[in-house]
Amino acid sequence: MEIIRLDNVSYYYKAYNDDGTVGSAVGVEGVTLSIEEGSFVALVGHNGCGKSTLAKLMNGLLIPKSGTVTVNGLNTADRDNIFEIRKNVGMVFQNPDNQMVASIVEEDVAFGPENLGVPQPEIVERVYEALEQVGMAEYAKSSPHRLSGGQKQRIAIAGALAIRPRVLVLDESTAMLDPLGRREVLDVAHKLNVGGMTVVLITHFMEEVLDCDSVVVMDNGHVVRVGTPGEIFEDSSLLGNVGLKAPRTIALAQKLADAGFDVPRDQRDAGKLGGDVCQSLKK
Amino acid sequence: MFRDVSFGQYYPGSSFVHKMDPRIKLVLTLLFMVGIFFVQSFAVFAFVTVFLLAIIFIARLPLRSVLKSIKGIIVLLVLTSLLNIFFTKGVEGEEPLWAWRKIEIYVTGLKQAAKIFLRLVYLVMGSSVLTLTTTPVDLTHAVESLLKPLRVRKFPVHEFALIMSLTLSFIPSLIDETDRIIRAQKARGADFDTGGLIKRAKAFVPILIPLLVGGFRRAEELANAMNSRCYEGATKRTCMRVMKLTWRDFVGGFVVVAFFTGVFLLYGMANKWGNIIWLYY
Amino acid sequence: MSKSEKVTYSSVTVPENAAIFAQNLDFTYNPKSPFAKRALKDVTVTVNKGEFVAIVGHTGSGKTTFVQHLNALIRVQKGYLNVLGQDISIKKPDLKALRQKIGMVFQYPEYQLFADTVLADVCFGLKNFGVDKDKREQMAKDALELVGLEFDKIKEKSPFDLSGGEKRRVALAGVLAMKPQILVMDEPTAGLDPRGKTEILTLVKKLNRENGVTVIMVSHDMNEVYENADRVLVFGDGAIVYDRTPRELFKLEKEIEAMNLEVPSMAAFCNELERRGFVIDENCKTVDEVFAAVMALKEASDV
Repeated sequence: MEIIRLDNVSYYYKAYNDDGTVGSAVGVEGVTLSIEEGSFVALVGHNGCGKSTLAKLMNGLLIPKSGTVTVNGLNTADRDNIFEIRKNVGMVFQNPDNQMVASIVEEDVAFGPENLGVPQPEIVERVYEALEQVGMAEYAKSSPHRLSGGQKQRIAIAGALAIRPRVLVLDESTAMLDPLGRREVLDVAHKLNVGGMTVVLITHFMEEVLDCDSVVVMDNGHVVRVGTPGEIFEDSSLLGNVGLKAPRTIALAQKLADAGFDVPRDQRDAGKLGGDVCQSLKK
Repeated sequence: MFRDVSFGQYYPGSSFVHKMDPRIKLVLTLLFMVGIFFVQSFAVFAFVTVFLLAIIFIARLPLRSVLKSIKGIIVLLVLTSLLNIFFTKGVEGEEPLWAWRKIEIYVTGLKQAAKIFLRLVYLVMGSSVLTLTTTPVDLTHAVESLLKPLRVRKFPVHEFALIMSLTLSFIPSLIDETDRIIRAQKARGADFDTGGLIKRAKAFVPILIPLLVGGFRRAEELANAMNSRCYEGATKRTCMRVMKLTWRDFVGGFVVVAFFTGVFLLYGMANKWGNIIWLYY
Repeated sequence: MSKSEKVTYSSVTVPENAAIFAQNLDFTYNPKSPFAKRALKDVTVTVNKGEFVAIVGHTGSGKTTFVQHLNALIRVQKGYLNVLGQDISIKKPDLKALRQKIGMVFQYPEYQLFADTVLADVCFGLKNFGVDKDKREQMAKDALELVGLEFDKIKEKSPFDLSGGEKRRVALAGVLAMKPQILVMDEPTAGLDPRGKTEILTLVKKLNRENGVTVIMVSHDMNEVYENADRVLVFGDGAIVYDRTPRELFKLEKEIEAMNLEVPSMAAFCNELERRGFVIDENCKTVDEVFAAVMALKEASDV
């Protein structure tokens, strides 16, 4: 079942021309895309390609200038639907420090349900359930600024989960984290996805898209390709054109396979690839 | 290091005072602050001193942390004391203690100065007991809750509390950012420590502008984050935190109210029967 | 610092080729308070002129504290530190002379841009260091062109109107304009997309190889470290735990993983080959280089 649908969507930003007159810059243009309930979709592209604009169109933070975005059948352009749409689509942003509304973890997570007017005992229930899901329950009474980047981002995810959405959009939520923090956030996202949550992951780390169901490649505001990670990584000219690169191990595996080595083209474990190559060399 | 400065001055603990409802503490502190001005004599000041020390003891606060708060008003203390010492005229018939040309110092002035000094010190100490035993977050909730009746008068209580809460949560990262920008500009040879007033003021431009620009960037992301989490203002909003009164609040409240009822009564008595010497001096 | 310690260090001879020479550096935040935290523990290290050194380690490992010692943003508490022949453990080192020689690029350096034009921002450092007005523009031009920006097109623009990648390069130009002999960078590629990362790293490598700039780069990306650095310092708990070439360091797979760091993919691949008796040249680090080395092995075994 389809949960988010974009039909020929365009969005333009106000921009100033060199001579000072007001013009416009393309955010996204002519995007048609469908996101299936329960899927794990990655949205990739270089900085400024429109992927974050697309994300913000998915919960009505931006309203398309033309075309329509529907979430669970509701049009985001209709102001009356906004509340319902945002209840369905939780969103986490790039900088964990800029998303905290309270200086105590549990109160920050409670912000969403409080806005929804959830009765007090249920808020507590939701907050702890959400913190449990991201593995941060023991930090409920802590102050977020003492936590690591990965932990802060998990708190932000908990804040979105407390609204009990069906879709979780991670808008470059791993961009500012160290590898350990990225791992933490991705593990949580995959765990949620196994539990039925639809996840839209926006990133430019190609290692992160390996386990996704499908990858949407964007360039200059357009969707240039949709495919499985395997299909995308095989298309090296496409990746080169949009300024992305396959993960190193996969790139090497592909080269070796092309050169006649008996190795899986999508091998992502460098050690195993090494072992396979040795087998091949010894023959 | 900037980031090691804990904001607010909360002194973690689990004493009787820490566990009291922040609303009650706030009200009692206000009562204390008003009450201090009804203390007229040194004898009653002695009672207040014992009372305040007892509270500090029960709150298990190191006396030094409470006294530290006085540092901030030292200039005010010295100034008011000097003004009182030099400009208070003696009561009728009183001989000046010391005189030089037109400057005369009377015993009354010294007493007056001492009393004002004590009042200011106790005022600050009393309020720092509140801030040392209550987290800024709790204080925010207390203020919001106590201001609630104003909502009927169209006062934006919720927005006011939200701004306080957001400010609190942004202070640590703002301090970090300021710290980082200062270091970055220093590395580019910026000099904040030498030169005249104008040069120094100018030196802050490279700090203020990035902070301002950063502030707008933060505000935008924060607004998006809040909108995404279904923020729509105060309408139909609920609150996770419930503030409940416990026996501690009744006991604590009773003790403080009783004490200051005594202070007020003594004040009244002193005015009525001026001949009770110890109430006056 | 006690006098006896000073005496000890006055007899130290700094190797001529040393860009950075640190002896027993020790640093404690908030000393003599309940919040005291010892961030550096007896760090002794020499970085030679022209080296490309990567510094890795987790938050709180002491790497940031160490790096900020280098241009006296943090003052030496204990121990001896000499940067490019200048003793900066003395009470009043000449900060301007020091900071002109050692450029420091902080995390997300674009967040420190402030001037109304790109040119003015790049000239900020030059002005502070007392470079003549008529020389500044030429130096700014050199720096902007070095980072790959067209001077005439960009000089009058507001730095706030540029794209993220351009902003970062302008910030970098602001440091490079002073022609520093040492460049210290804290995660220079954080937040950039793959193309932006490659651009910055290519530039840094060029500065190092062609202009002889000594580079010290703090990074979390082990692949980046592996492919670019001559030498890696691993910080842990305030001390330098390892000081090796990238190839030698990442042979210690278990130790690296125990420190919660990643083993670069190409290192893991080469390690596996070596365990099975195939030798890959120490200098083969990128995908293409490793691939070529494997092909050479294949040809050798086919013969």
